[in-house]
Amino acid sequence: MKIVMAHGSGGNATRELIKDLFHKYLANDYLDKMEDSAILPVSEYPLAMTTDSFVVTPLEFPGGDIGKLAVCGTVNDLWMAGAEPQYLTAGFILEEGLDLDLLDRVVASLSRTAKEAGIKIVAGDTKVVQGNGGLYINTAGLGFRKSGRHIGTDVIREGDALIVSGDLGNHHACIMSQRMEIVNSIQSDCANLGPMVEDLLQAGIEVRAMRDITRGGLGTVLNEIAEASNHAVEIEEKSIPVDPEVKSFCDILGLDPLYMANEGKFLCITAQEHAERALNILKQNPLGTKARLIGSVTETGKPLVTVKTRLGGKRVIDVLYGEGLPRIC
Amino acid sequence: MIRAVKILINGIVQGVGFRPFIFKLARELDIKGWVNNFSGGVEIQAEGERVEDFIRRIRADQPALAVIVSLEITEIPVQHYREFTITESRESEDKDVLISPDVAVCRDCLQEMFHSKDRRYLYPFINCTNCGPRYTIIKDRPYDREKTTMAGFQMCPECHQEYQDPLDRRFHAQPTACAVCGPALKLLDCTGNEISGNGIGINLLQEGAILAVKGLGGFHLVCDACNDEAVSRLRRVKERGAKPFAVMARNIETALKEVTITELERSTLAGPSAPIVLLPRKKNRNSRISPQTAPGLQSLGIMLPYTPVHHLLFQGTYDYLVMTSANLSGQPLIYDNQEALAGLSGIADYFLLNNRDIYHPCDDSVMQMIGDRMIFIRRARGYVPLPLFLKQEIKTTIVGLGGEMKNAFCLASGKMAFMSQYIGDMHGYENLERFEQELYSFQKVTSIVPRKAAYDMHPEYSTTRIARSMDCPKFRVQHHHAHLVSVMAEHGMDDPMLGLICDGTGYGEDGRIWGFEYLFGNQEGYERKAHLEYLPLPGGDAGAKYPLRIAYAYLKKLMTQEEWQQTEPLWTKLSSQEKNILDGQLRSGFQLFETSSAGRLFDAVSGMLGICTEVTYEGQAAIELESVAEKWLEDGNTGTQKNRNEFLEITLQASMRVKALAALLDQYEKTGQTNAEGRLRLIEQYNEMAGRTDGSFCPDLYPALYPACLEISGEPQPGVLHVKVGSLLKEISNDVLLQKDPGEAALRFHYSLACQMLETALFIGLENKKLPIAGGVFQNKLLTEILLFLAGEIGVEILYPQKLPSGDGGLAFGQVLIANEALKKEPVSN
Ligand SMILES: [Fe+3]
Ligand SMILES: [Mg+2]
Ligand SMILES: [Zn+2]
Ligand SMILES: [Zn+2]
Repeated sequence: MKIVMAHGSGGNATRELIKDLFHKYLANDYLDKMEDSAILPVSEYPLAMTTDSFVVTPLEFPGGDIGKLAVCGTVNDLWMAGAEPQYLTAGFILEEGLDLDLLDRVVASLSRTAKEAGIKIVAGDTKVVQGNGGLYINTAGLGFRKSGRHIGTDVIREGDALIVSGDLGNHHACIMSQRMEIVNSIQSDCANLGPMVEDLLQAGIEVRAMRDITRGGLGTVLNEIAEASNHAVEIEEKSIPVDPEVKSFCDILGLDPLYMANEGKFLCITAQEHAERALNILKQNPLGTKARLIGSVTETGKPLVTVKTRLGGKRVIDVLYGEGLPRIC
Repeated sequence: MIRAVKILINGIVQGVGFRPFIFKLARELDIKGWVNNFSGGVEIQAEGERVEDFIRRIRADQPALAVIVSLEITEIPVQHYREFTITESRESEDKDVLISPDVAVCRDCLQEMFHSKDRRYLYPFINCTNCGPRYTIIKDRPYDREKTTMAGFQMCPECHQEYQDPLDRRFHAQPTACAVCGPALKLLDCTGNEISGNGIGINLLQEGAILAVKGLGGFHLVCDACNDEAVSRLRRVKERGAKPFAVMARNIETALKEVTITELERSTLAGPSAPIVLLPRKKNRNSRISPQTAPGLQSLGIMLPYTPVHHLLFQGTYDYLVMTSANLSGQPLIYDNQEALAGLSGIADYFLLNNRDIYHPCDDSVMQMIGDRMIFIRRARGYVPLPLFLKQEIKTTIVGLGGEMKNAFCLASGKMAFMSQYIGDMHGYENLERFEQELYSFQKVTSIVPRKAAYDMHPEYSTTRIARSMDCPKFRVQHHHAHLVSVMAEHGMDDPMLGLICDGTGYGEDGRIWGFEYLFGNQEGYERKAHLEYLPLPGGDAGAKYPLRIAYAYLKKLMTQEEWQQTEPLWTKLSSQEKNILDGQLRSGFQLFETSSAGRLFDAVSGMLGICTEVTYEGQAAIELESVAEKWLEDGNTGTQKNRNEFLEITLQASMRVKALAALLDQYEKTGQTNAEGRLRLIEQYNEMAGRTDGSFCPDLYPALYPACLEISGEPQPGVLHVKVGSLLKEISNDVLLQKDPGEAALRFHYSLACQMLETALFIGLENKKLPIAGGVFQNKLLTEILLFLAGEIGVEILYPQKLPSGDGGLAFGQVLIANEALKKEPVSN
């Protein structure tokens, strides 16, 4: 069965779709009321709110699918602000021709991921548009910053340590392999970063700032951090963790893992004296076994990202302007 | 009758013994008056009976290192001077005097240095007005000792005496010094401790040690070139890949044992600029030089000792020393003592330092003879900061930032353009710092503070980022347009004309990667008339490191399914994972760049022929392809008759094919069928002639050449000619499958491509029968000389870069001229 335009008419087909498919996985106290808005209890903690839209082809890939991605992406953004995720909204845009079984699997996955992440889906929406069997999901998330700690780029200072939570580039390499129909065993790293962040915060690690390393990769994230905090940061090429299979895939394609997207990795900036302990905490988590200390904040007042190369030189890590256009003359 | 004149001379007239020369000349001709240095050059007041002779002799007998750019004469009233004097320098606002490049130690100084009675016996920093350091030690102008890095050395009374004596060879020789008052050498071990009893380290070199030696423009890493173990070790610790090392030979005679040298090459080698010259190695293989010096190559970069320290080092028993720029892989030249000790501690065993600071780091220049001229591969020490003179005046001050690889920038104003020394690749942070440092200090030397800027169109060049941060009117210049205008200006051409630019990479107006371009234009603009057909470059720069991957993508794109299946044996060196990913890229277009690059075409052929499958230095695949072709040819000259005959056949057919096309075009002009339809028919005729028939009707006309093909494009660029290489590449792959000699295939490829290059130019049309060429590909001696030969056969003159490198080292000059033109009309930032 496929999605047809009638599924979006608001009539019977729509009701059936909601009842048979969405309700099956997403039923809870808030959604069951079928009100126009969800009424949420007041909290004593500061609120964190974020939203993100998810577009990915293919919709299912090794290590995940768009449903899992749509939850993890928003949940991770909340955690990066030090906020514990509470409520989620999900808007689905379905293209005509979308396979219903596929949609079923995606919604099931979305529901499962949300439950695991401890976030409640409190509002939802579905629209059908003309198209080619595609699917887009928008989620918005609300969280409480229970720790009361201030986390942000404005508290970064000289000497702070940079830690990444694991291998870079897996999600990007996985999606590209799928799109190029290349058979390999690269999996997306799509995951909920919550457990790792919780461990760090509970252990009292002096976390200055965190960023999940998504679109644009670590290179872009570091540039944002340097710019926002007005600090120079320097990392070491040899300590950047990359899975060997991903590495050789990138080498052939001329891709730089520094600029590749991940969906389950984050950069954590901590006080230097807490770096070692933070690293150990991350490593005890199944998602953080490959965590590495990759560099430090080196200078105030100079927003610049550099990498110390294997040969002992330095290279500027810039924001990508093009797409890795050839430069060798 | 007594006549009085004021003479103003501009050019390189300071620090080259100009005033003593004038002084002596005045005495000889009984001229009275004075001579004076000022920032604008040299000013003379002369009166006497023989003023006319005086002026004539200034021009005729000027000192060897002087360059007179202008000489202005004004009549003045007679002052009745009683003698001729040299007066003191005076400051002036006008700063047009040129600064001399560094000069190899002169014969007179050498004689003194090796004369046991001389007070500078064995003094390693001996120099005079005719020789020694110049540009590399000058901080600012006018050129006086206080403005050089010699400022800290107080002259002893004896040196000062010489310095003040107009008749002495050291009169106003700013870097003059002696053992009492001047710089001194120091030999340290790798931990930085001074060691004694080893002199300047000759015995250490003899034992196979690697020395870091501070020279004129920076440090060299030095070892005995005949000591295989030392050279291999240097290659290993420097992480050098296969990139060749330059060799310093004791003298011309020892050099001649290893390489062959023409008269022009000899005079260049032994001249005051003393560059590295690439020379063909002797074929009778008794070479004593380690094969690790220039692996896989038929040529060797040779230079001769050019500083007193070099001459002292050659008191050792060795005849050849490897002398390679001391830098960490991918980083700029090291020129500071502390930097050297820190950076080279894992590479050099000992350090031969001195306390004369270098202000402008400057690599050795590299030259090669092509045709009957010397061309630059790299322009630096001995040539910088000599300017290029312009036909048209630049009314403002402007900087051309150059390219990404082999960067050199250009400052221009008035009728002069100053190219900086080779800075190097711009990927690294240190290189960017070096670039900015030199951009600043070069302004002091040239007195040009740029108010406008020109930069390359490539969005990811480091120079583009620098341009973005500059707050002045600036202009983006297309890469190959800059190459074209650079070579045209060098040859004094400014009317629009057709040029052929072949290189590895340049960002095109259409966002694709260009590199085999026929552009018609001048500094005001250009039109793209023809180019190599677009082919898929997988993985961009990463792919360009593996020539076989390029070949794989090119052939797969150009071949039918059936043809492709035959090529299986070509790809045994590609892993199944590589092939898998390449196939995926070709299917999906992901990380696949369309390119018309000539450099990648050479790479593809080199890879297919199994000559180079991994590139460890820029241009390696093409350089080795050329080398293999030359080897095949050379063996033919001395050995078997077979190769010689085939070589003659290839040459003959190439010349016949080019002549046949020229005749065909002549005929076509005469019949007046120059409309679009006639043109199409003509191209058909050419493709039949230069391509391959299927054998059933008539035999191939030029079987010794690989086939050529042209096509007129439709939309989106109607009328643009596409140089097609499908049949050429297919036939080469066939030769590989038939296991033909790669040397022969390589040579045929060079001839066939040169033919096709020239033929395409003929099709587009050559006004004045002149064709300028530029781009890194024309640093290929074999290719360029074939092109010169074939052009000569049909009376076409090839204009190739001689004053600047053909590659991106000459780019900034063209950028400046184009931006100047563009910003004239519109004085705002674009
Ligand atoms: Fe170029
Ligand atoms: Mg997000
Ligand atoms: Zn001298
Ligand atoms: Zn002295």
